[in-house]
Amino acid sequence: MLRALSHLAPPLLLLVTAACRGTYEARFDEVQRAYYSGDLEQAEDLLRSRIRHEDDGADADLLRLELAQVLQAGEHYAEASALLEGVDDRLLVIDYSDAPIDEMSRLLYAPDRARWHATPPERLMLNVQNMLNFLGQGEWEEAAVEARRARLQLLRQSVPADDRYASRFVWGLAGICLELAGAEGEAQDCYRDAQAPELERRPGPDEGSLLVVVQDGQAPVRVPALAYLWAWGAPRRLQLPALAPRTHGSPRVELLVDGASVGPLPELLDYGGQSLRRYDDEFPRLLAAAALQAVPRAYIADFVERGLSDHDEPTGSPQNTWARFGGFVAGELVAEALPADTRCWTLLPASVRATRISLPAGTHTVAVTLSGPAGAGRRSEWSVQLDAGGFALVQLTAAVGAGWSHAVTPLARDLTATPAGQQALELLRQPPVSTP
Amino acid sequence: MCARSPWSSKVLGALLLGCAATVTATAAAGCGPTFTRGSDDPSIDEPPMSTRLDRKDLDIALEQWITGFQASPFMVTLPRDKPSIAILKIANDTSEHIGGALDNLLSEMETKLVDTGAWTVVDNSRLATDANMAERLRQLGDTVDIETRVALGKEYGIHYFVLGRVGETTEEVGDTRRVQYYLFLRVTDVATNVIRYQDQVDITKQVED
Repeated sequence: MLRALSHLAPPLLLLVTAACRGTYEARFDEVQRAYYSGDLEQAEDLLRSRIRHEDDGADADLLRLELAQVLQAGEHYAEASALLEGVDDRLLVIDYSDAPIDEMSRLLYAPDRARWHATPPERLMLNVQNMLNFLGQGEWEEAAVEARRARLQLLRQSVPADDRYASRFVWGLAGICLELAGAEGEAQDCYRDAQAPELERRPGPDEGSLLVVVQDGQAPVRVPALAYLWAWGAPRRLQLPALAPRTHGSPRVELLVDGASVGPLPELLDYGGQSLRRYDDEFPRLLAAAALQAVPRAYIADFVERGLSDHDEPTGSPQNTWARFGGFVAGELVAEALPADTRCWTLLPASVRATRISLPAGTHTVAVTLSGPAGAGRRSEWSVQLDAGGFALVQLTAAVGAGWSHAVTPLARDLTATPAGQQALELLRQPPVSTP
Repeated sequence: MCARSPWSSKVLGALLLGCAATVTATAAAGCGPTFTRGSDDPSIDEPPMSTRLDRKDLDIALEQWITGFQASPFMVTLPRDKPSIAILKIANDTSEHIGGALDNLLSEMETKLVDTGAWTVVDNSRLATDANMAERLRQLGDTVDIETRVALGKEYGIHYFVLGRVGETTEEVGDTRRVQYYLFLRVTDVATNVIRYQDQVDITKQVED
């Protein structure tokens, strides 16, 4: 018994340590609850408290992104832009669709939580949100800087032409920022790539320009998921970061100006849909990275089993049966203590609707109505002052006040027979593992 | 039973206290950031700390431009009656947030021009207080339209204006990122719209992770 405990003690200790640390997601529930219930002040206080306590921690950049989102929802554009500008300079990025598997495995399953790495879409959304923040402040040149940064990312990723048009909101918004800053040539390049005439409408004489942006729904979030692979005659449990969809937002969003309907706001960015499609491309590599974690676990299980076995006894003896069970338990304990890193930018929207209209100079009442399920709706209203040749932004984060519930964790699946599972098994066969 | 020496207890106590004090002092010294005043250690201004333009970059750029400007045929043949000049705008065409640095550059340029003794400098902030002129300056592109030139000449008595821009080329290879800035400044005659002087200064910054 003592011998068994001494072999199982290290994995047990690892499990206790992990349990004490908790997960970022569990500690972030309070913030989400406050934000989506409409209590921005509470969400802000909670985030500031965590940033104070974890100033240089592994979650520092991510917490600042979340706080910037809360501040933007409350139209505190100056502070939001300063936060994002600070994070932009030091943000680490990993592309799960082509990063080396061992690097992904190291980052996703680090016992001591690694510094958070954004995905390329999250990285791009930082610049998108900051374009809005600077437009909200009337800082056209700073907005143009963010527009150039966004363009660099879109071009650097060598995004295929078809997919680039899926980012037409980003291109169109960049065009607006560059146009306002006087960079007409660059603006035209962006408008051409955007193919979004809704955003290129220029005001006529004695008119001003109004940009209406509605960030709706809740972006998909990473959740811990289980998968099984049969290897070495036993089911191996893998912990994966799955991407769980959340609410997409209102099926219809209507814009009214001075009481008259301007029409529905078109959806120009389906961030949630793009994220889910991208995850499908990343999944085989994520599974392979998880499978790589099974290798040291197999070694640990093998070590514990050998330590508990009595080599003088036959294989089927009670002692050696318990030894095999002990090895299995050790491997499971290590798996439990090293869950997949599921941190992500939680407060992003699932979709963005936008349009740009020209209005006569003067004061206007602008309203946005969101139709909910079963006909329920919400209405938000602003009074906007427009000068001739001027520009104004009306921005709504529709998810604030719309309520929140936990993302659904997918059920555990046996992936052995799937193509992704076969790839992972191939990876498992490569390093020598003595476990029968 | 051996009697315990009073001296050994005192020595042991002193040793323990000394160790505790050393550990505490070491821990305290190792905690928290270290602040340095530039006047105490001027060398802190020397090393670059980002790929953005810092004060040293701007000082070097401005010095180079002013030197070339003062030696130019335009300045040599400039009338002695101190014509007026204004720096309208130095546009940021980069993907770096250097607006603050460019505002400082503009102010330093005004100071340098005043120091030459050859110019009457019209402060940029004076132009910015006029809402119409501020809007004109905001919308300035590579050229100044005739209405703005007329306004500059009639309302402010400006004879020459300076227009500039900062551009960049950014390249990345592996963990190395290089940003090559160019600062372009041009002096134009308000009345004739003729360019009297222009020059470009190059600055390169690099970061390696």
